[in-house]
Amino acid sequence: MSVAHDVEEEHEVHVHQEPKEFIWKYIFSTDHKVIGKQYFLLAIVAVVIGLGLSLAFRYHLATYTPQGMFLNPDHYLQAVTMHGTILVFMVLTTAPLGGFGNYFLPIQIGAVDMAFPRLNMLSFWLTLLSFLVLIAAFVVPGGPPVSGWTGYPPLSAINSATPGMGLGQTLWVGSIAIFCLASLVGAINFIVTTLDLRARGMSLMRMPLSTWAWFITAIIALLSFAVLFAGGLLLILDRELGTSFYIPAGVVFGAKELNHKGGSPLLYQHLFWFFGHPEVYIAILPGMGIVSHILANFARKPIFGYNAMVYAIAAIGVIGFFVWGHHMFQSGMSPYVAVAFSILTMTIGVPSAIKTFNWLGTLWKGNIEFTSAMLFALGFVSLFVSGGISGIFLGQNAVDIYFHDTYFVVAHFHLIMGVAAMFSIAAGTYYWFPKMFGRYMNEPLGKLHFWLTFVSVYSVFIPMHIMGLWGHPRRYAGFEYAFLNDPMIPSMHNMITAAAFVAVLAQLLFIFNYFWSMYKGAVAPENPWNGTSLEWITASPPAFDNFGGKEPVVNHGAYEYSVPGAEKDYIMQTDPPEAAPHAAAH
Amino acid sequence: MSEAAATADTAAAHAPAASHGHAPAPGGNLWDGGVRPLGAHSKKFGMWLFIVSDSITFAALLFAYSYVRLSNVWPTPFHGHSIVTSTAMTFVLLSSSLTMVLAVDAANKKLRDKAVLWTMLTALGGLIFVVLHTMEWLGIINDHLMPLIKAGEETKSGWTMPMVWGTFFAATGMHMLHVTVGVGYLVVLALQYKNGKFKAIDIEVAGLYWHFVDLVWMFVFPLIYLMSAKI
Amino acid sequence: MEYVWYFLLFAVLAGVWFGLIVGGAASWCALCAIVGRANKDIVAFLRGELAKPSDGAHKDHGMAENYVVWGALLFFTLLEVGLAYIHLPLLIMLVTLLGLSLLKAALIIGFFMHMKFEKRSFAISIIPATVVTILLLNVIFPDGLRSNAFREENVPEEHADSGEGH
Repeated sequence: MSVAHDVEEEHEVHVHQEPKEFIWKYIFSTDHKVIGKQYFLLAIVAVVIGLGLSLAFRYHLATYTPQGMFLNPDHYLQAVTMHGTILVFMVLTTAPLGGFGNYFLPIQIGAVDMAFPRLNMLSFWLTLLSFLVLIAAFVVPGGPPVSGWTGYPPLSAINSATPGMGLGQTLWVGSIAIFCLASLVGAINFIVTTLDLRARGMSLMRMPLSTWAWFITAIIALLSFAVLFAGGLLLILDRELGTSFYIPAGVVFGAKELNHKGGSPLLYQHLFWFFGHPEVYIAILPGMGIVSHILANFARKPIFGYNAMVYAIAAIGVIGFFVWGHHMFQSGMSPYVAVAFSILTMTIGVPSAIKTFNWLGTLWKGNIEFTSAMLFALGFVSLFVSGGISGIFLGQNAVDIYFHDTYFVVAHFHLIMGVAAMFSIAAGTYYWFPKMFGRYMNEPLGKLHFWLTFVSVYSVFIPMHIMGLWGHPRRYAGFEYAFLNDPMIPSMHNMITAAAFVAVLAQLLFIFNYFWSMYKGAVAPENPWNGTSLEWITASPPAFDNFGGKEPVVNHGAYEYSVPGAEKDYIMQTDPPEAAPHAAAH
Repeated sequence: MSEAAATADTAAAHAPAASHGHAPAPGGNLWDGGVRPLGAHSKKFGMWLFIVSDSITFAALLFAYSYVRLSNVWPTPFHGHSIVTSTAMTFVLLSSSLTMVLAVDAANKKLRDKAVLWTMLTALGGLIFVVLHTMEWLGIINDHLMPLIKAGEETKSGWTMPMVWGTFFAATGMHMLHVTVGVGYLVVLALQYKNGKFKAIDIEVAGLYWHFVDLVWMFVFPLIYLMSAKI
Repeated sequence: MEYVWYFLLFAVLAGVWFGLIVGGAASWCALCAIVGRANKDIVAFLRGELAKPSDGAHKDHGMAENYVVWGALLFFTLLEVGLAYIHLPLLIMLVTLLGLSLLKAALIIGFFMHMKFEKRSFAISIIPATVVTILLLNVIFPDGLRSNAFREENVPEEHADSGEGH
């Protein structure tokens, strides 16, 4: 089986033999499918820890009285910090991109493996190392840091600030730096694979939208993690070597003025958010791709406006780099720059809206099958819209100065980035599980999972919008303040906490379903959902070299459902060209 | 060139095309799959992507330096001696780039021994750079930082590093890390290449990395040294 | 009168911003044009090139060129060092040094790193994205200048409460 050699090149052997020993087959594997599953398992472990922490501080807020607290304020902030860091980096970045991307990108383009299998393995092991270093912060003296997932200095740059800011913060920065390297290696691999290893006939405009999303996401990761790496490096220098990149003169701490002078916390915020905003798209773009893929499949219709979808993904990727300043409106940045950032932030609504309308167009008059995967995909669209609307408010710099650091922002980014991305992960899992393990996931359990999650996440985050409008600040361990003296506030906290418990318990249902179905689910055929793309021509689960020694040749676009005049209601990408009379006409 | 000839070329590029009984990729376009559209070996493309990312990291470091410098009164601590040393280091690094070019050239002409020799010479150049740079670092630590540390200990106020040295160590330290890694990379590559393990493309890819390290120094040297020189 | 200056400053900033956007968008469109086959001429160009050996490295460009480039790099370095000996105003020094460095970088990328001999599409895939991303970082400088103006020693007495030195 050959993978696209140029004539002049020295040939190299791409196909390695499948290893037999357990350790090489399942642990130190260079097979992209195994690495994809490893990423997914890592994300499951991380999500359990991250959601557990959120339950801890939700319980704290619900039972809060100034006299007796479930967590002391330090522990509260530590829990919030680790919740954010673990979920953003170890779940939202690894599962959709590292997990599904690794597993399905090579298959969807008809390749045997990634372009650099060993670098792929390195990428996973670096991610795991980064995760372990982050988790180690729990057990070191002082515990994890309290500076939030953004790690703003001067707090994060001062070793002795509070208990978590010693070794815990150092491990946090180290973990992020390792994660940057892992993402860099992964991104290189994704980009080269997508451009170089496509099967014959798989032109760029025939790639499934999920592949497009992973491709663009990899480009974003390549360009943005580099800046975070530099920012993290300077933070380590500030902490360990006494430099003052981020610490201005006159910082008084513990009744003593620090010796540092000459730096600026704004510099860190710029470097962090230069990465941080693209990171939002790293988390959500693969979700958009997966959801587009699933919507077309279960609506039995071609995706509405395929080209527009591709250009919208690309445009989101590009504009995503121009808007990082909207995270810093009230940090004291230059107001002129803030205005420019505000205008640019509005422009990113355009491609987002294109995507949303195209999803609706795809559903319009479709023959919709409400499987669990489809329900979660629809839930994603709903969450994307409701989370996106509040983003338009927050993009105005004048409005943002009021909303920033209230629960409004928390609700906004949880809906659009956190929960929406989680929905896309769940949708992808229900959709691709038969391919990954050869068995279906349990459908009734999946639907129960969907309805519980859907109702409970809205019950968590809609009240948070309202509390944010009232001015409830985020990251406060208590609320015995005059301006929060509304008797509604404790009862809303109670309600949110109850809903949060339901939401998290529903995820346990999902994890149970995942592992139970791996062994007990109904056996699935090659193409259980009548899909069109290349993953559905392989065995379930795919052979070691994906296509069993055959080289797929692609003759059709990715979403040829219900083509008039065709025999079936779908045309596989590898079907002969004459399968679509309509398509052959022009 | 006619359409037919172009299609034939594309077909030639797909060795297994005939066995499938299909026409070559519809339209015979380079971007239609089955060939590498950019005409470069995947490893080379991958290394270029790494260089893209790494150059952004260095750019961010230098921007951070400029930011700090812009918002402070900046001293000019580099005098004649430092400038002469760093100019010598620049010459060594530039020359090692030339030997790397020679190594790639030899490897492409299948002159294995010559390629190994030039690669090792390149690594030697890198080593000289690291040694000179380390000596300079030690000199700076002795002359400029030790007095501050001692003063801090005496007054029990702790010490902080002045930002001129903070930016210096951040930028040159990151660069020196790259040179050191590069020396190790080249030595391992040369030894393995001698045993016939790697191909010409691997030498070329290593060359890209080495030239990139050189390229970064072309920005670090003027911005860090020459902009703060007083002779 | 002050407001006129504010307005001009804002206009310039917005201009720079939108320039960056348009530049970025243009580079991106160039890439998309090739990728999406919108531009038939470029496609023909690409197709024509396929007939030639795919990799420039296998052709002999002559080593003489590389020696010349090396000599030029050394010469420019000496020129830069020479600038440090004559005491130029800081801004002129910065612009000259950056200009020379960019020239040197171009020589290294073009000849030593072989970019000149790669396919056009390869260069377009690599370079514009990098340049735009690096240029974007320029947006941090207004804040660097502002924090300078905020420092105690730089705030003129009569403007001490407005916080910005004019």
